[in-house]
Amino acid sequence: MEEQTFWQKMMAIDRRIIYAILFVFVAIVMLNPIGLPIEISRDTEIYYNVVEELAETGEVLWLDAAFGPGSWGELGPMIEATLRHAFDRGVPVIGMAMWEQGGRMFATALNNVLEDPQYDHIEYGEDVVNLGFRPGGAGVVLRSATDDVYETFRGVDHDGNPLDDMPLAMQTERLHPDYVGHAVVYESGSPGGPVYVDYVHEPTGLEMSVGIIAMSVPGAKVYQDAGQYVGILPGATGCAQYELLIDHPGYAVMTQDVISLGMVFVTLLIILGNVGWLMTRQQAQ
Amino acid sequence: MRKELPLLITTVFGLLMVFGRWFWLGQLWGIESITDQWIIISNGFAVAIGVVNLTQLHGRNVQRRREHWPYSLVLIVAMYGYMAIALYETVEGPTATWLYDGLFTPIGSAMFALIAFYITSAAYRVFRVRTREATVLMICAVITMLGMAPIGEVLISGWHSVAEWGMDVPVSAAFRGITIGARLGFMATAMRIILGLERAHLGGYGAS
Amino acid sequence: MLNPLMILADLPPPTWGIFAEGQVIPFLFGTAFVVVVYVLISRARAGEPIPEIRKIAGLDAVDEAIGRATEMGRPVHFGPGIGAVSNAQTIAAFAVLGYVAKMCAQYDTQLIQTNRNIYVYAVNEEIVKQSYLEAGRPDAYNPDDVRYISGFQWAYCAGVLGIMEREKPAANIMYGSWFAETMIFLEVGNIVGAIQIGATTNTAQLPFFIAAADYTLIGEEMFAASAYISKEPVLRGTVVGQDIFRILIFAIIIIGTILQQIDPEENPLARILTEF
Repeated sequence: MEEQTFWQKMMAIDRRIIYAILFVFVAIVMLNPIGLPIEISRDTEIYYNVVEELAETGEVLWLDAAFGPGSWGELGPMIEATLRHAFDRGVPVIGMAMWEQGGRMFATALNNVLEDPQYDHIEYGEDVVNLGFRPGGAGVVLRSATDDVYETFRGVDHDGNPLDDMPLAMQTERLHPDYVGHAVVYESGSPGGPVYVDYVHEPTGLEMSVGIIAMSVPGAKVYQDAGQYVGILPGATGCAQYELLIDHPGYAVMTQDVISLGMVFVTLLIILGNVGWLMTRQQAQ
Repeated sequence: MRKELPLLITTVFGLLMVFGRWFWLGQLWGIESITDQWIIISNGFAVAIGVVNLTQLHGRNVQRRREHWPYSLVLIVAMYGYMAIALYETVEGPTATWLYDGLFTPIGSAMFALIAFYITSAAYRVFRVRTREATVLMICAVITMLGMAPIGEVLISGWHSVAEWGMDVPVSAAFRGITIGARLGFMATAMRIILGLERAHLGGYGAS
Repeated sequence: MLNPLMILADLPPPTWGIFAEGQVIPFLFGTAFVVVVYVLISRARAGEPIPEIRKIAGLDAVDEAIGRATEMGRPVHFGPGIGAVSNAQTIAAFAVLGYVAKMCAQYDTQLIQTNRNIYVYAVNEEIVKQSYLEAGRPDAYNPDDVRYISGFQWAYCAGVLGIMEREKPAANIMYGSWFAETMIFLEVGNIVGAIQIGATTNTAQLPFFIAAADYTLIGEEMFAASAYISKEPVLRGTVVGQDIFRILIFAIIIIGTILQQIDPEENPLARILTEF
């Protein structure tokens, strides 16, 4: 049997070795961060300014956690950072979820933020409410916009507590510019931002933004170009920039070195794979 | 009748939705909102179909000791076990919450995290510059990938702006083209269904 | 309960007496679309010539993929995406599933059909059963091969990965609304040596399909499937109508861009489109 050349061996490498190298590589960078500088992008600045403008008008910020645990790593820190920013600037926040697991995602983010003694003054029901999830996906959003938030959520919040005891929920009768200043959808799939475009932004004119997982950013740009999304917070990188803008570097900032060096690692693999492929092809010829 | 009745219902409700969106009276009557309430209600019943199917399929796997039947047993125990706990103490109860937060959430995150490993493996074994187009795709991908992460700006000043321009202009233009084409496809499909021309959803692949 | 008075309070007065605000152009556009499609269908029914649909390599590859699975004695996996039953991409998948099921029935090849949405599962079960019947092989239909996995995205993903690892399909057809799970499915399909065909309009996932699948249907190609597969002139008429409107939309975009350059403040086309 003919002995395999170096490149042939390289091309036949067990994929588990690649997985192991990636794991070790990520672990080393995680444990020894190098602190690469993070530049603030235009998109993140626009998103930041949305909350700043609400602070001036005192209007409600409506957040929709349209994701599950799988996307928590990218989208969870976005909600936490937005809540911190809103609480710092006195912006009231209402949360809901188009995804079944989203209500819990929002609750986890809220609990994480409220554990910080800095936010001891925040009153649930007055400064923030988590409406949670109701079955119906897009239908729930449509009813909140055209009908009545209280009725749509059957008069209870995520934990089943009556909305009647929550002044913020009672004042916010509808998902409409008359009651809400801006809506943000944290999106990892469908239903997501486009539901708000169809059922809220277009019919009522309510301004909206999205926080979105990195791989879906190009698809969201189309909506921003058309003027339907005001801001886009793009993935963990956008979230890291936002954390820096609110002066509270957190989980997303921690991941930036890993993302950067992970990209370099993938690029090197692409180059190596192609060189190997060309070499084995040449040898075969 | 087995096909005619569903076709009639589809057409009537399709036209009703069009009326609810385009016409003033339709919006006044809140037709979209009413039909969405019906969808919410019917979604609740749909869960039962899923439970029945899972029970039948995996129940048979266990009963007949088919290959890998222990996995089916795990599924049945997990499904009915969680259901029983949630019914006993509600889904917000301590055990249900503990199971959800301690098991479901990390497993979901782990599944998503697998993408990193699979993309890395695919980068090495699948992404080949076989043609000129593939070479252009690869170069653009590397520029965007490194440019959108902090490292791009560290390597070459202004790299981030180039990557951002790439996302904002050529990528957006191409995606808009695809989106417009797809939306027209959506519309043509909707039209075929309302007019009763598309019957694939009623079984078989034949048309009118 | 619905409150008409609340809606009435916000509802702007009707345009031209009957239309809701901003709905005149959509109405005219939709009506014109129906008229064009009707004319083309009438022509097709009368036996008059209408344009052919160009070759779609991804759909032709379906035959190749099923043939390969048959030769290898391994199953075919068909995933209709993770979208709802009302998603146009899911509906497009129904037509292809019917075709795939019929082919599998004829060749006596196992078809594993997995679902995330319960309504989609119910429809697919009916489609597969009906296709086996049309192929004259109702006895070969196995209800256990049409499977509802889970309503949760990642649970569905994990379930399908397990099936692919254990049952090693020789063909993996992913036709529908796909999201972040795309690359995972494609890589596992690659590991088990499946020929892979992907189709979606979800732009964020298209690069993954192009890079890792053997054949990809991009954007609107997937909506031509029912017409392409069934070879029905009536359905072909709707695809041609779609193309006529594509030309019309791009003409509007070009005219609008020119008018915008002439006078950015007063673009009559933009005014008509936004006001009506």
